[in-house]
Amino acid sequence: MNIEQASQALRRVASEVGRVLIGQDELVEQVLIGLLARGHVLLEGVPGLGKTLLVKALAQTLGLSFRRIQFTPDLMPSDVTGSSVYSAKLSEFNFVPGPIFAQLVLADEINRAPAKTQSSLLEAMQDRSVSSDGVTRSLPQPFLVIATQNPVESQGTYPLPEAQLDRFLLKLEIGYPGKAAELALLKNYVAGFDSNKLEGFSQLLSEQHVLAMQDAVMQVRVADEILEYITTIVDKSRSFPAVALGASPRASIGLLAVSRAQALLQGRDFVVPDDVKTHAHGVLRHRLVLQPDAELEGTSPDVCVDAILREVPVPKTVA
Amino acid sequence: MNEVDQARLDQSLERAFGDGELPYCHDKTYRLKYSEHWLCSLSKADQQRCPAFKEQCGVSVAPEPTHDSAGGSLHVAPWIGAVAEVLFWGLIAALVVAFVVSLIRLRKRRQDLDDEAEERSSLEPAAQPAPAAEQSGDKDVQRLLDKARRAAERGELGAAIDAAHAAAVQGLSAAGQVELDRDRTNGDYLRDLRKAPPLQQQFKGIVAQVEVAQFGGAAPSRSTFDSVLEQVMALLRRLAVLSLLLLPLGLLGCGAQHAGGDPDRGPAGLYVFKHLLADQGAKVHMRLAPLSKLDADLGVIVAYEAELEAPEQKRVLDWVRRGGRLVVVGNSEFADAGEVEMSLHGCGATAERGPSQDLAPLKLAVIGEGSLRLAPKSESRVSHVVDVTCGGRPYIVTSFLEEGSITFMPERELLSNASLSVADNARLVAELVPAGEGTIELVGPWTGDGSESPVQSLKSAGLMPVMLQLFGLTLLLALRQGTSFGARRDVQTRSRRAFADHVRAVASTYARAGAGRLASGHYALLLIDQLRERTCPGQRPTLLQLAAAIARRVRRPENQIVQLLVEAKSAFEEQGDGQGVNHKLVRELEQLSSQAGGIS
Repeated sequence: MNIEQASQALRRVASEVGRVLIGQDELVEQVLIGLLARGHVLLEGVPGLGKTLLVKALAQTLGLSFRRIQFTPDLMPSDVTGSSVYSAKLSEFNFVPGPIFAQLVLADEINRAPAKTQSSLLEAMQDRSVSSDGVTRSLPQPFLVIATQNPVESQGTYPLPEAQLDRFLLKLEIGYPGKAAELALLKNYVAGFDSNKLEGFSQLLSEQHVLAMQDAVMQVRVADEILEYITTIVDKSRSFPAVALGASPRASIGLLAVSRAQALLQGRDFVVPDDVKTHAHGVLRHRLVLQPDAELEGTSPDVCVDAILREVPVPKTVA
Repeated sequence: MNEVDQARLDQSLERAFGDGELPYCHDKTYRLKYSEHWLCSLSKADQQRCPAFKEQCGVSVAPEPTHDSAGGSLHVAPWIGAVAEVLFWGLIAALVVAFVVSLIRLRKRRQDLDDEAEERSSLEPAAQPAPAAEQSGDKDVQRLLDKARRAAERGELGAAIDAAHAAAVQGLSAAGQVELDRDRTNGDYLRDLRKAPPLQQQFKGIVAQVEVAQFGGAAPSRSTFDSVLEQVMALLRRLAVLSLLLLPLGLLGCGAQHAGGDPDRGPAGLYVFKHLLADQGAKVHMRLAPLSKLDADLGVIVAYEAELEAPEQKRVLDWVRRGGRLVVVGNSEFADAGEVEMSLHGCGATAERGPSQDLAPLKLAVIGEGSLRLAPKSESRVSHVVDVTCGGRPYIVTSFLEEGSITFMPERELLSNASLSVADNARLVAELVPAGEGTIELVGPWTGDGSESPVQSLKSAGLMPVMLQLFGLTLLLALRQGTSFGARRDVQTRSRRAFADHVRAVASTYARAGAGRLASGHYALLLIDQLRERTCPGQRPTLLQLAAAIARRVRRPENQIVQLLVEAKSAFEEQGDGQGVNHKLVRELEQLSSQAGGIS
């Protein structure tokens, strides 16, 4: 699959998903970029914005398997990864795979489960395999975890530690759709749309296609100026006054990967500065730990990323 | 009618007619307009105060168009004006061409100097290529295009494409379409251009090719450069057209013309009338606003061919009945209320005081094409006094309505500058319209024409095009500079913080560290210390002694207090077990402390 074909296929997928997830086109594209860049996505937004629908629709159009895990305080690691169950018939322990053994996994309200359960998921995300009873089992490929958390409620939650947040390639913030989009959404429902059935939703690609596109991302060319641009941005985050802990080298790698995926989505075989700038917030916002003073002043990581981007000249700038 | 000081009146008239304020009065070359020629019958009267007026009435009439002809001789061939206009614009065009040529020459000279400098620098062996950001500091679009062409001729196609791209971006920036900064990408510029889709599309085409050359890895070809340059030129042409679209606004502004000379100072104007009243000490006010409300200090209303709405007429009549004085000039709807009728019977060119007048006789000059007729109604309570007669007919009549009066004059010309310059007309008017009885409101066709909104006012003043231009320029400035309209400044930070902020900061740090129980344990201990100070000051009681003292103070069972204190103490000691905050315990301790004397 060449770049042009991949771009067109992805646009068709985005358009198909956009048919049901109205007004969230940008989010759909960003999640697709996360998938292409072989990363995982953390979605932050209030309930009811169509996160489950997004993942279900993506799974259906991409021809991937889908599982949803509702994280609760009593969720055990084995509920996620699976466990060995004794079979009286065979007189042996058989491994029963958990919901993590799917290609698209929605980890809903990940911060409601205790750290132990969270870490079992995060291990699977990092290694793309699950170890149980001394046996390591590979997860199906492609593998994408989309975790969600609610930014408003904090009672009874276990915030993800910084080290674990770093495992997510992108942290995306979902807002409410516009009034016009919401109206179109209601009209969809009036016309008989049922988010649980997704009938008439066509499968446009297969897992082989997705894997081919992930390989195609690796073929996207990155000029030295772009690499310099990425490293300068990440480096600035470490010395920025309002930031206590800057982004890690994993952030640089992540920014490079999403920039390449963005280029592919745009039908280009090379990265331009705008690809980097477009995704800098998504890659960096959850990796920056702010100084208490800055937090007190109401500074958000996005504000810091904005300031960092303003300080770094774009390669081949005209100004 | 009132007695008038003749000497004072004469002085006033001398000033009005003698100070050069009335061009027609002394300028023999002044040509009367058609509408003014009507007044020429007055030029035959005695006591002419305008020496030139009689002569003006003897020559042919000037055409009505309103251009000011007072200044110069018009005895020239009409084609001269057209030739002069052509010459004028030709001269202007020549000046503009000369200016542009000199600019081009200046630019060329500067360009040659730049080329020389560039050649010199290229010969230097250790010259290092500057970073891209520093190379492209030039903001002049034309020079950037020239640079691009020269670089292409030298075979430096990458640099040529960079320069062409820079020219496009600088052009967009100069047109206020994009905001230029070193951290802005082509994507940012494209997003800026969302509001101008054709420009966005054109720039997108340029960017696509430029980025391939800049980041795509392939060596740029001559055809790529030519294509980029062509698209850049097309974009710049479009921008130029957009700029030209602003010109009509400018032309509108230039096209705003004033009407001819001041009509108030012509023979038919009211300049002398107003001057006369002002000299007598009256406050004269031209009523522009509708007569929706009458001022308290209103003395006399002079309705000069006024066209009032029925409610306005009623309001004025009510005011008259309450003691107001109204002077009606020309035909009017008030005639019915005053029980007079306008008559179109001619009465001659002279008029005199009416019968039963004790005042000195007057010789008046009038147009005499109209007069009045008394039309008393049956059971009428209106009484009449004929102030002036003309050819034996009533010419000026005052009708008395209850407390007030209405004076009717059939001909509006009676108040004109020409009329007041002859015979005893000025004296009569001064007697009829007495000064010193409050403000004199001049109500006429202009009344109600006052603007009801600032926009209408601007429109009436012919300032609308100018304001639109200013608004357009402000908008462009705002688009270019942002909303700040000035140097950007950092957000002002507070130098001191409130105590509550510190508490919140500490609390957020504890919350982030998951140490809510630790904080609540310390708080509980603090509350116990406070209870100890309040119930056993200066002592070191045991927990049981403290509980007994508190129980006595708050009159609660001692065993409850003991249980509470023990729980609080153990909460402090076992704060590391990871459980949540015991809010109930904290609340109970707070309540206890409050009952024991308050929380400090």
